[in-house]
Amino acid sequence: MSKLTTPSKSLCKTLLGIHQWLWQRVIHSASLSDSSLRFCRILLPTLYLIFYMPDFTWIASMPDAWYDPAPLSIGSLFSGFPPLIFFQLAQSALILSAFAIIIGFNARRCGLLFCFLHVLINSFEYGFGKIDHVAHVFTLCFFCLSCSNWGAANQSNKYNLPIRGEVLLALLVTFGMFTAGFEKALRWIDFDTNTSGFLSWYFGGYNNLDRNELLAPYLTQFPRLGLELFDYAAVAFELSPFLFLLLGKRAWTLWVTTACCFHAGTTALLNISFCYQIFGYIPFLLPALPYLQVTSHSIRRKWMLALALVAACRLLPVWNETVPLLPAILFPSGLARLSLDFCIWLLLAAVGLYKLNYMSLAGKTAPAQSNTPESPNLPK
Amino acid sequence: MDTHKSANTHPSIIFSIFLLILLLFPFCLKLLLTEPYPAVIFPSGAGTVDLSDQSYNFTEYRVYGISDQGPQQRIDILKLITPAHPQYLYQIFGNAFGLSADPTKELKLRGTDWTLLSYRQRGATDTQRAECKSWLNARLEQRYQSLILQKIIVTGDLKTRSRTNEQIDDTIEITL
Repeated sequence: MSKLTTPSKSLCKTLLGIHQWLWQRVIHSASLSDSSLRFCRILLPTLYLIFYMPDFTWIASMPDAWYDPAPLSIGSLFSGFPPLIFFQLAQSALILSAFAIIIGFNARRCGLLFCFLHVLINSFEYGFGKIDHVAHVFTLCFFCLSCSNWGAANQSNKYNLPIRGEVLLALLVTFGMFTAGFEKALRWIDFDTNTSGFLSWYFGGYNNLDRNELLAPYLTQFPRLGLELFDYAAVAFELSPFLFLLLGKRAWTLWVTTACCFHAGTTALLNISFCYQIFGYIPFLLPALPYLQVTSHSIRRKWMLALALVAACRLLPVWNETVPLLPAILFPSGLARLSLDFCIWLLLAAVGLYKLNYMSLAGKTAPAQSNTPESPNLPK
Repeated sequence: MDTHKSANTHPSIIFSIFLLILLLFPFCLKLLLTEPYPAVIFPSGAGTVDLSDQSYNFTEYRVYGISDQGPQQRIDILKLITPAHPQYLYQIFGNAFGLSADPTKELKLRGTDWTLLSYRQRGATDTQRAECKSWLNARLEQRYQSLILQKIIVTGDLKTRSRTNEQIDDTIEITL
């Protein structure tokens, strides 16, 4: 009997060892300092309020006959689009919860409320039958970082997950990318230059959806081999993040930086910006600097006033449709919006390169500190 | 140092298995049946386009308005569905603007003819159809008696980008 159980015991031990090693690597690569998370608590909802918050009130004006949600979705529990008042209340709650996260008022609860509302509203937006994925990443980001209470110093351990929020976020982004790349790998890796997966995203969008700005008109002039390489690069990029996560902090930062370049490319060539993905990347691109706490009451008051003004600018159009939306004022045309998204991706890629450079310099001066799981922070 | 105390501890195997199931189950549903929501699934878009003979094909969606006076007129379909976002065009069109005759749908195991679930989609009620028609009429300023929805397979030349052939794939007429 003991002869039979010994190999199983040893197998269990090996598996547990692998499990422990995998988690150690992932935690080491993705862990951030609490000060970085606190900085994200201010930066991400601010970006959301100014640039990225979608308007949802238009959904109420759609005919109910168009309501055809996916069968396995929350939307299928309902028989039509909710009335305008639902979207007005839900969107107002979204704005107020984002504002509450910024000022640190019940940041965890407001973050979770924000995610719940987003999933609910998106369920109705996807009622046309297409699950659009666009909002997935910032919902995931807000959920994960809220679980860590956005790095609050006085957080209670009672509600914490067994892993830190940013580690969970890295894993979810990694898995999400895997889901995107898996089917592509089965069809795009065909070693046949007479087919193109990349262009399958292009023609329909170019001709039906007016995605014909920036470099889109020139895409068909690319050599066939180049188009085929785009396919392989996309598959490699989407299937590789977990490997980079295992390789360490620098490798993970490199992958995230590459992701920004990849999205800059899809913005320019396909006019698909995947702009909401920035919420999954920004936490890992911020350099590990000692983010200073603003102690001056006067500066804090001015900052709060500016944010309250932004929140008010987002609230007004929700209740009065004659007031223009903030993004419509900032970006009057689709080209302006695309150009902004393109610039943001390039800017983030530059920040990533700066961080990589900073890490290699720090690694040279203190290699033992920067590369061991015991020190997830970079030396300051 | 202000990092979390548990930065170097790893979670239990139960948590890992739970997380794995939570992520993999919806993805398997998507691969085998249909995509669920909410789930951690990013867009795949794994289709391919044939580029042999220096040409390409794509499907174009067109709407024509038919009125008593004069010939049929092409309608800007993206303006018609506004404020719905352009990315929902294919689904709205596929659903014949909510006025399709047969709302029965089947969930088949991917890659097979094995029907796992045949269900009757909610289907628009008569009131909702009437509401939808008046919505479309208001949007089109009461100019048309009916609409023709056409799916066209367009063939183009890869080098010059000019259209070399157009073939009607599907036509639906809806009376307003």
